[in-house]
Amino acid sequence: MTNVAQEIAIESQHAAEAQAASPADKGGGKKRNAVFGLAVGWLVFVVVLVGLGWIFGDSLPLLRDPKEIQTDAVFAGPSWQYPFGNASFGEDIFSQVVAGGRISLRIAAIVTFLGIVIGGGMGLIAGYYRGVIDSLVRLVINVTLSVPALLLVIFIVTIRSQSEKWVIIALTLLAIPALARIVRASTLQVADREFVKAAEVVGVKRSKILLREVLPNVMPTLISFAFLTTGIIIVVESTLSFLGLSVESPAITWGSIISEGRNKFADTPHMVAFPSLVIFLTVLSLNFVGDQLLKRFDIREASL
Amino acid sequence: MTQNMLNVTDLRVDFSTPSGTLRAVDGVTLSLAEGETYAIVGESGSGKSVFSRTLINLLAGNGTRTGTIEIGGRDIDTLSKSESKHFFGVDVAMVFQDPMTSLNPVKRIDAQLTEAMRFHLSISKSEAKERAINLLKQVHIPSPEQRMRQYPHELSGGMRQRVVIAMALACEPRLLIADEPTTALDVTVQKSILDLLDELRIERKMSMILVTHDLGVARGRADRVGVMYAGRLMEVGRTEELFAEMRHPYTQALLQSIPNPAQRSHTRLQPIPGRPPNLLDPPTGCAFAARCRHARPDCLESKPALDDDHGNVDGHRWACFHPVGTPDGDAALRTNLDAGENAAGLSMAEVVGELV
Amino acid sequence: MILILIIIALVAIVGWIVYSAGPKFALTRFGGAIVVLVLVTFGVSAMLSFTSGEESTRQALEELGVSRNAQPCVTALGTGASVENVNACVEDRGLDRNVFAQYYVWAKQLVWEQDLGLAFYKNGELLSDTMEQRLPRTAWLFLYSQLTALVLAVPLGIWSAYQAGRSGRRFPSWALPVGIALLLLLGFFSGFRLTSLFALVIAFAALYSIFKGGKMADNNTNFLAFALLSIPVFVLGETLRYALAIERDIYQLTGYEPWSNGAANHIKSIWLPAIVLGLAATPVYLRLLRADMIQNLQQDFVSVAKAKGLSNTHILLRHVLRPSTVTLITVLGLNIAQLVNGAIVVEFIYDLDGMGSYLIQAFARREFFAVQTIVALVAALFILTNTVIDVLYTAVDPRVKADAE
Repeated sequence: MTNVAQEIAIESQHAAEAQAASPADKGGGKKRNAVFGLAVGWLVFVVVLVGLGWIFGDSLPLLRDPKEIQTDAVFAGPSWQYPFGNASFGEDIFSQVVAGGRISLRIAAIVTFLGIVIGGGMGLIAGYYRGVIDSLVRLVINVTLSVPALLLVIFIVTIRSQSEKWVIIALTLLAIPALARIVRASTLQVADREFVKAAEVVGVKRSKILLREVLPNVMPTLISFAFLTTGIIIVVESTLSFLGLSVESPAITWGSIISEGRNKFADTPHMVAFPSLVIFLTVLSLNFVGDQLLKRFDIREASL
Repeated sequence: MTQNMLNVTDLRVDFSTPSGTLRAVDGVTLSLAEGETYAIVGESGSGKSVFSRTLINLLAGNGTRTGTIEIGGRDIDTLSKSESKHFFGVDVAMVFQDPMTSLNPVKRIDAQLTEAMRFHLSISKSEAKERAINLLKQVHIPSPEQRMRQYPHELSGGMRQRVVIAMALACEPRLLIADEPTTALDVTVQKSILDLLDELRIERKMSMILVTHDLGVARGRADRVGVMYAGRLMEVGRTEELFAEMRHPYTQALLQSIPNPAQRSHTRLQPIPGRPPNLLDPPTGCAFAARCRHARPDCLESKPALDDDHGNVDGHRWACFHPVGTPDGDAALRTNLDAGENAAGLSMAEVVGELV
Repeated sequence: MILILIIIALVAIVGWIVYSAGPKFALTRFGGAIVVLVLVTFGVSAMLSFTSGEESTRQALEELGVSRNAQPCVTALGTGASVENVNACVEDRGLDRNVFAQYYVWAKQLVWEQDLGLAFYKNGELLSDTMEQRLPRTAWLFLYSQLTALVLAVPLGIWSAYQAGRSGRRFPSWALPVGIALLLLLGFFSGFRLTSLFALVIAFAALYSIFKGGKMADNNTNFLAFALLSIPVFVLGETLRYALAIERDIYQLTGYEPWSNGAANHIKSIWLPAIVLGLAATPVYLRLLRADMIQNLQQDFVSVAKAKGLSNTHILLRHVLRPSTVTLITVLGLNIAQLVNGAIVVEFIYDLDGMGSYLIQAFARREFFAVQTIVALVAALFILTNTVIDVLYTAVDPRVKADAE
């Protein structure tokens, strides 16, 4: 029941990309490193800003209570006082974005963490020990991924409740099999390598081999995909809140700001534009970092 | 005098890589008369493949060349766009080394044969097909009509190479470049392929450049030989002359490193010590100096030109300051033997050393 | 009717597979697929049966005279429902029985009686009717978007793979950023709208890349694909909706027009959402095709073709393209999941009453039973497509058989 074709498609894409990225690409070049630095910088910036906003609230410059009503500035565009403009009751969008980041990033972080630990663990064990456990894990992966992602998540959230807890559970249910599949594939490759087989022949305990030989070699792939997965989670979560199905108001998330902005037609592009820009840049950075890490680590396997 | 089929003047080919500029061909000049076979001999990395591919306009994206190439009297740089479209593959053609990968695995033989014809000559599909069948007959493939409809993997290695040859001949070229045409084949098949090439060449009055690393092939099939090392020609001349009286230490070393049935049994083979120079950072002076037993200090300072001391352009020439078989060269050798090492610091024991 | 056609197609496929790969093989594959399908639908059903809510709600229901488990029915029927109706609903769905019984009830209804159930419980609208009306819209959306994606991805993929190995025209490298900066300044001061400016910058960058060619063009295309990949579908959809439908009148948000109302009207009503969905799929196809083509371009037979004097275009299109499309075609089939995800969002944004919007409404109104059925259908379609492609792959590539245990 392996979804061989899909795995082949994914792996061949990565392999082809790794090969297609000629040695000249690998050299990196200053430009690529600069962009990498930018991406990381942006991510750090967002996390720090949101974190500070969480801890210090409105005492920071430029930030004010996201709910604070400014009746004289309803739907105003960006200005010095309100760098992202104002919302339907004059609230400062910039503060809203910073506040909204809390939920979006928190969810993303928790889900990715759980995905790495549980999904990664599952993939590792399944890929190394094989046998019944492997069949079971593969079954779980296939079952969970037979339903399109958004559909599954919406389903879970609506039949339970639109609380942060359930959104996290739903997204985790998505992240775990995705990461498990990747980690399993990587573990299979690593377990096949000679130094692992050598250790087994010598008689080292399998669990030790798993931890000391296999895991460190699977790590790079896992980390790269963790970044990519975080990006996907952010996208799914914001899509959910855009559709009105994530955490409900008064909670603010990036998607909810956009959703509110679209309902009022004319002349409020800033309500949609700025959070969109933030989401785009964040996801782009995450994708870029993950992609670059993949290219740097995952090369030689593929070309063989 | 009949016009030369091929005139290459001071050809240099550079590749720009992330680690710097790599000079693969470093000033090669040679001429080929009509109906002649010229063998270019060299080890891997000598630049012979790059050279032959440049002649047929197969230069990789990051490569640049200087110097002139005249094929059939035409300078290929002066060809107009429409002329060059139907020049390569028509006036000059190439036979590649590996018949397994040279043929497109998902296309039938007839498609691959007729493709070039239909592209270059405006002939009908049926006529192209007829010509293709004739070509297959000329390369001695039995039951050509059936073979036409087959795929490459249904043919043996030798047959595939014959098809590759047929493909090259499809538009009746006057110059054929064969890049190691037999390297990927069994020894028994090698002879038949080389015989075939000879036969076709004579029949069609083609000139041929035969690129090979196999001295035996060069000796047996070529009118003239050019020995290439690190992108330069080290020794050129008519085959009999060159092999009878080789002058360049590299040529000599090459011959001594392969088994020769004419010698007594248990004669030791002498491998050439060291390795070819790094083409990204080539040495000043002769490229072979580091591995040469005749190397003297002047060899490290400047590159010798291809010459025979008499200025004779068409005869046997070599690029060496202390050639083999000359008093100068013998003296150089003696000095090095006494010193125990050559001018580049290579221990002479290694040079005249023993095969493990 | 359509169901019959589908069943015939299925039987044909199964038959062919059994013929070519052996009955045992087909059995394991299809058996596996069915197991997965059953598990999925059972999981959905099980999740539903645990939604009866908190204790307080259940007690309240009991006090009202209905079953403790009646919550879903109450939501479906609305607040004004009578006790009898609610109880009838509970009986219908077997809400009082255990998980397996509920699953059985549902499964029997779907498979045996071919009754898809109700779309909206309240007004008794049949799901089959809803599907008949809405499914074509979503189907057209799928079709047009995939066509768009291919039309964009294939030429770009070929072109950028070809450019990857060449050196472009000599041009100062500062020309691009300077040009963009100039455009931005110019536009800003002339009072161009942001969206026009943005479009201009992109057009400029594109023209520049095409003109310059070479590795840079390939890198730019790659970057574009990457950026497109990182934009959530709803952002893309919302932005384009704003730019083309609100700021200007290029696209009218008047809702869907079927073919029967005229081809022009039909296309006019659906082109923008189709393009949005197509743009979302383009980068995936682009990268796949490009990677495969680059690999194939490095093969020997390409040098041979070049030595034969064939033109680059000829070689690209008639020698390299065909083998490079294998992965792409595989992924095309597997992309249904993405399409479903995207369709939900796009239909929501552009107000197209297709299956996607229906799903949203169904969720909002807690029409769980309908949802269960649709999830089952989608999953079935997905699993089936996967299995067929899987089997085809195995038949084509023998080394996969060894891999697949």
